[in-house]
Amino acid sequence: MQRKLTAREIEKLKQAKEVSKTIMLEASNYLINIFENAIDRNEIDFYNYQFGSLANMFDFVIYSFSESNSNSILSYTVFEISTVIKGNDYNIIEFSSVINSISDTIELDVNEIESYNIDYALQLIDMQFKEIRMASKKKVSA
Amino acid sequence: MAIMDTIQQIDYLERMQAYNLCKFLTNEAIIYITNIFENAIIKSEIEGYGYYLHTSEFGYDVKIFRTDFKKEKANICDYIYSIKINANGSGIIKIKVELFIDGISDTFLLDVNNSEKANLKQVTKAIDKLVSKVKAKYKLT
Repeated sequence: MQRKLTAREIEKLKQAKEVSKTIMLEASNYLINIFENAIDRNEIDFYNYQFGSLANMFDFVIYSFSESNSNSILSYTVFEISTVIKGNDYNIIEFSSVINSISDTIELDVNEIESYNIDYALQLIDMQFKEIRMASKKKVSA
Repeated sequence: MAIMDTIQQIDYLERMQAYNLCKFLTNEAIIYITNIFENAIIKSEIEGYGYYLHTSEFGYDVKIFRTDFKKEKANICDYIYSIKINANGSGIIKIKVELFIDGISDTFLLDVNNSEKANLKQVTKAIDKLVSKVKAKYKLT
């Protein structure tokens, strides 16, 4: 049975959840824009995503599986990002990103400047997506 | 030929404007409804929630729901919220908004040429009205 949180803990958790939400919304919008731009370029026809939230976490998965142009990397790429609030004082946000087979996790400080945390999270996504693109180019040329 | 190109270009720009408005209204409607669920998590009324979004050629289809599903529906978060926002018709494009919560629904058209703020206000007002109707129907607090 779970221990009942104190008023201070609830307040701390609420604050960390708000920070997580901002990071998740920025990161998910970043990914949504990748898919929206691909629609504009007729690379894919549509995309789907799902979003989940629990007391201490958020989870976001986006994918397309579009058949119109199987050459597009987005037609077979699944992006998943999540945040989990950790630490004794709910002061750490674990941000994880999984793109196809590549995964990585970073720790963000709840008290850090908002834009710093967002940039750090977006950099991680960018780095992984670059790796996936490089791998797919190698596969095509092989 | 040049006139046809211009007409096609105007048509494309109008469709893009409509599609962008659909995107904006869908995002805002999601944030508006999920805030109800977020507050319920904080108050420990629910454990979590989720939502699916599906895009189509014309717009968006969203379902928002509680993840720890309860058979007895005593909370406003025990119902599934459905939002469909699509660009509708040819020629003068309208945005069709369809809201649905547990058998109670509302459908209305928005003008692409109205301001984003005015259109959003209509959407949030309709959501509020629908939530109030569900609360009244099931005597929820």
